[in-house]
Amino acid sequence: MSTHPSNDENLGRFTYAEVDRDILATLGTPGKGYLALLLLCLGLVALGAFSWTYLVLKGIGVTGLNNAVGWGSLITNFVFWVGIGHAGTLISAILYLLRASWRTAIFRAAEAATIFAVATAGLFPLIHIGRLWVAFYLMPYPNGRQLWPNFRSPLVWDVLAVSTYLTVSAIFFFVGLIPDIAAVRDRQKPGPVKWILSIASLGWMGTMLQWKHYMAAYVLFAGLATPLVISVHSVVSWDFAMSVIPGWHTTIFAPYFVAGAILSGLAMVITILVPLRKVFRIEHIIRPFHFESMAKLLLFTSLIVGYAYATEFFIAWYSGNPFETSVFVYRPTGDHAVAFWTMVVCNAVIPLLIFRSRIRKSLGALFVISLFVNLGMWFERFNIIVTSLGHAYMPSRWGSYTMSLTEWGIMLGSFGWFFLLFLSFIRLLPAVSIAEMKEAMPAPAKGATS
Amino acid sequence: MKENAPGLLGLFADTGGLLEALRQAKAQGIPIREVYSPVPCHEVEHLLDPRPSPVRYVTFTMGLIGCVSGIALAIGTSLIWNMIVGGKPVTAVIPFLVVGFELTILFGAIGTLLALLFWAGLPNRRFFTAVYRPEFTLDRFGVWLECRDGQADSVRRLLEQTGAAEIQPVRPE
Amino acid sequence: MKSSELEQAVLDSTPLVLPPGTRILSLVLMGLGAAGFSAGFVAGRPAESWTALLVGTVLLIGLAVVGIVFSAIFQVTRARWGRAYRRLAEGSLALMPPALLFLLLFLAGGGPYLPWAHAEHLSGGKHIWLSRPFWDARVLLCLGLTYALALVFLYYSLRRDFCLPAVSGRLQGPLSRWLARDIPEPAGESERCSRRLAALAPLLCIAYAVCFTLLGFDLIMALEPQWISALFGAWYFMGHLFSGLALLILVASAKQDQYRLGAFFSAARQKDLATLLFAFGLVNIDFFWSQYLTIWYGNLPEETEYIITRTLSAEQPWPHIAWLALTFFFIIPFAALLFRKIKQNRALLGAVCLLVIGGIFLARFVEIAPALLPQPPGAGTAALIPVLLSSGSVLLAGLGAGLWLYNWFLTQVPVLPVGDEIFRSELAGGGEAHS
Repeated sequence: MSTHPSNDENLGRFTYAEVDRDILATLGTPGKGYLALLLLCLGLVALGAFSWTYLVLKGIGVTGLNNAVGWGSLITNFVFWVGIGHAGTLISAILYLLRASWRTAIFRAAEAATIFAVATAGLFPLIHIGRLWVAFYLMPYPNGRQLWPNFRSPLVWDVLAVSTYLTVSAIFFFVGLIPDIAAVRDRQKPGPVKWILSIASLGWMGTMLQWKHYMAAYVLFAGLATPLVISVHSVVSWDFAMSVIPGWHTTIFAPYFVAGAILSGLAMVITILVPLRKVFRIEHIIRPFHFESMAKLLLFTSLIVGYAYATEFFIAWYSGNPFETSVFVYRPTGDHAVAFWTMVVCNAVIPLLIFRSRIRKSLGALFVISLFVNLGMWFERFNIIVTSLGHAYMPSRWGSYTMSLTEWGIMLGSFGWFFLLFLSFIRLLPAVSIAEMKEAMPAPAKGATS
Repeated sequence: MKENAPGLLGLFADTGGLLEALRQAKAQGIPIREVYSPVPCHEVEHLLDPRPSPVRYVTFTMGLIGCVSGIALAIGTSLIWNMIVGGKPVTAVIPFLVVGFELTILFGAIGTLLALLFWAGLPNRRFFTAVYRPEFTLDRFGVWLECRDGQADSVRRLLEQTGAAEIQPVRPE
Repeated sequence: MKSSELEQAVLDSTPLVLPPGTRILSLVLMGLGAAGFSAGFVAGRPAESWTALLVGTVLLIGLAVVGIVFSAIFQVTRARWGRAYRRLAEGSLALMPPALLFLLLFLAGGGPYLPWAHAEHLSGGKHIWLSRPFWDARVLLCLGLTYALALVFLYYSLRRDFCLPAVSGRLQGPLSRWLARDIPEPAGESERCSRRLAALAPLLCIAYAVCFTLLGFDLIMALEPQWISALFGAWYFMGHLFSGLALLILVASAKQDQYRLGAFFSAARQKDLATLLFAFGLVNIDFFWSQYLTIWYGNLPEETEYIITRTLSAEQPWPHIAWLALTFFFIIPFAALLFRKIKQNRALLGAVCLLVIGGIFLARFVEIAPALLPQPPGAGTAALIPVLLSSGSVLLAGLGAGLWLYNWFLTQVPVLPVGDEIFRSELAGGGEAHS
C-alpha cells in the first residue's frame, strides 16, 4: 500500500517506436460505433441549435424563468460546464508542478475536455442574455460614447476570467501539441497532409535549443494556469456570493466551488476515459493505476464538498438569521428537495465508496460513481441557484421554477456539442501525448536494440 | 554565417552515446551545429549551454504590465463616469484587484508564448530545407558536427567510436 | 546507499543525549512566558493576561499536531521528496503538553473574559452552542480526538522503525525500550505498522480538518458572537499548516547542522519545501481573500463591523497590526519565494519562515484581542504593545517547553524515518534522479 508505484504500474514497458505506433493507431479509420456516436451528437447539436433559434426568435420568455427565479437551467449549465473544465488544468498543470508522474498518460485528453467544456460553457451566457447580437457589450472595448462595463460587477469579472481561461488553456494545449504534431507529420508520406502538418507543427525539429525554451515555457504556463484555474471558479462563485441573497452570500463559496469544479471535472474525465481506452485499444497506456489515482483525488474533493455542505447548514443555524435559516430548511424539504438530496447523495455519499480499495481498483465501479457525480454536480448548481432565488426574503417574492422544453433542448444540445468536439479531437490529434510519454520513460540505455 | 561548411550527422539510439559524442566533440573543439532529440534531455541542455532560459523574465514583466493595466483600465473607465454604483466607491480597489489578477495571468501567458516562439525560432521557416531526419521525432537522437578542412575523418571516427547507429554526410544549402 | 549503511548513518546522526544548552534556553523561554502572562495581573489588567494566553494557546494547539498531520499527508500522497522530514515533523508532539496545559489554564480562569459569556441576547443556535460547559466539553473533545489519533499514528510510525534490529539494539532510552518491546517477528510487525499507518493517515487528516474547524469557530469566531464567516474554520486550520511548515523548515535547517543531516536534506529537497511553503501561502491568502472580498462586497453591518474595526477604521489601533500581519504572512513571503536564489539560501529562507510564523501570530492576535480588549476611539497602537509582548512571550514559553521535549524525543527515536520503505528505496535508488 505505502510503496511507490513502480514504473511498470504507471507506464508499462515500451520502446519509443511502440509508443508512436500505438498512439498514432488511434487516428486510423473510424469504426461504425464511432460514426453512430458522431451522428447522435450531431443530432443533439441540431436539437440545441433549433431550441436556441426558437429562444432568440421568441424571446427569453420561452424558458421557465419568472420574476422570482431569474436564473435557471441556463446558468446552471454554465456553471456546470465551467466546472467540468477544471479537471484538465488540474491534471495538466497542478499535477505537473507536483511532479505526479501518473498524469502523463491522461493529461492530453483531460486538457482537451477542459477546452471543449469551457467552449460549451461560454455559450450559455450568450444564450441567457437572449439578445445574442449585443453580446459584445460584455467586453471592454473603446467606443465613441465612452461606455464601459462596470468592473465592480462580478459578472464582468466572470467575462474576464472565463475568456482568460479559455485563452490560456488553449495556448497551453496547443503548445503541448507542437512536438506531437511534428511526430504525426514525420510518419506521413510526402503530400499535402504532410505539408499542412509541417505548417501546423511550426517546423518543430526537436533541436536542443527548442526543447530548452519549450520546457522553460511549459513550467511557466503550468505556474500561470494553476492560480488561474483557482480564480476562475472562485469568480464564478462570486457571481453568487457578492450578492446578499440568503444561501448565496457566504465566505466559503469560493473554495467550495473550486473543489466542486474539480470533483465534477474528474468525474467527467473518468466517464470519458473508461470507454475511450477500450474503443481505441490503449488499455496498456491508460492503466487502472491512473484511474485509481484520479479516484483518490475525486474522493478528496468530494470530502471538501461534503465539508462545505455541512458547514453551510451549521452556519445558517448558528447565525440565527431567519432568511438564511429559511432557505436552508427549504432546500431539503421544499419544492426542489429531489435536487438537494440527489446532490448530497451523489457528491458526498456515493464517492465515499472509493475508500474501499476494491472499488478504487474496479473500472466499472468508478465509471458508475463518475456518472453519479456528474449528475450530482449538475443538481448542486441547480439547487444553489434555484432554491435561493425561489425562497429569498419575504414570502411575497417567493416562487418556483420548472425547465421548459426549450431549455431541455438547449441542455441536450450542449452535451451533444461537447462530445462532438471531443470525438472530433480524438480522430484528428493524438489523445495521449507522445513526447511526454517518451520523456516519462527511462531513456534508451546504451546497447538497447531499436 | 558558416552555412556551407560540410558536416556529418550522427544518429544515436540512446542518450549515453549522444552525451559521450557531445563531450568529446566539445573537448576536441569540433563545432556542434545542432542536436536533435525526440524528448527534452536535461544533461544535453546543460552540456551545450548551462544558462537557464530567459523566457521567465518576459513572463514576469508581461504579468506585471498586465496587473497594472488591468487595474488602470478599471479605475480609468470608472472615473469617466464619476458615479456611485451599487454602493461601491468609484475607485473600488478591492474588486479591481480581481481585474488586475486576471489580466496578470492573461498577459503573462501571452508573453510566455511570444517569448517561446522567439527564442525557439518558431515558426521555423528553414524546416523545409534544413538538415533533418523524420526519426528525430520517433526514437533517434541526432548530432550534427561540422567538419573543418581535413577533419572529416576524425569526426567520423568520433561518431563511430561513441556508437552512432548511422552516419550521414550533410552539406546544407 | 545500502540499507544497513543507511540505518547506520541515521543512527550515527541520532544523538543519545540532549544537545548542550537545551535546558537553559528552554527554562529562559518558560520564565519569559510566565513573566509575560503575569504582567497583566500585576498591572491590574487581567484581561490582557487572558488575551495573551488565548492567543498563544490557539497557535500552540495547532502547531502541536500539524507536524504529525504533515507526516500523514506524506503518507497519503505517497510523496517521495518529503519523506526525510517525516520524523522531524512528527516531533511536533513535543508541543502537546504545553498546549494542553495552556488550554486548561484558560478554561479554568479565562471563562469570565469571553465576550459571549455575558451577552444578554444570543441569536439563533448560539444560546445553545455557546453555553458552558458544553463549549468547554466540545473544545476538549475536538482537541482530544485529534491528539489521540495523532498519537496512535505516531506510535505506529515509530514502532515501525524499532522493528529494525539495528535501531532497537542501539537506542536504549525509556521511550525507545517501550517502543521496541514485544517484537517477536520484526518483518510481520513492520508490515502491520505500515498497514495501520495507511489506514490511519486519511482519518487523521479528516479529523484534523473537522476538529480544527470547530475549534476555530469556538475559540476565535465566537468571540464576536454576532459575526459569522463559514470559511473561518478552514482559514484557521490552514494557518497552522502554513506556519507549521515554516516551523518545520526552520527546525530542519537547525537540526541539519546540529545533527549533521546534510546528506539527507539536499538543496533540491529544501527547494521543494520552500515551493510547498509558497503554495500554502497562496492557499492561505486565497482563504483570506475569499472572506474579505465577500464581506466587503456584501456590506452587511453584522459582517463588516468586524473587518472595519480590525482593518479599516482610522480610529482604532488594530488596522496597523492587521496590515503588518498581511505583509508578514503574504506580501514579503510571496515576493521573496518567487526567486529561486532565496529558496535555495537557508538563511534567507529561514528569515521568510520567521516572518510567516510572525504573520500568522499577528493575524490571530488581531482576530482575538479586539474582542477581549475593546479600545476606545483614538487609542494609539502603543497601548497595544504590552499585550502584544505578553502574547508573544506566552507563545515563546510554549515553544521553549516544546524545545526541551523535542530534543529529548530525538534522543529516543531515529532522527529520520528509517523504517519507511519509500524513504529507504529513494535513498537506495540514488534519490535525486528526478528533479
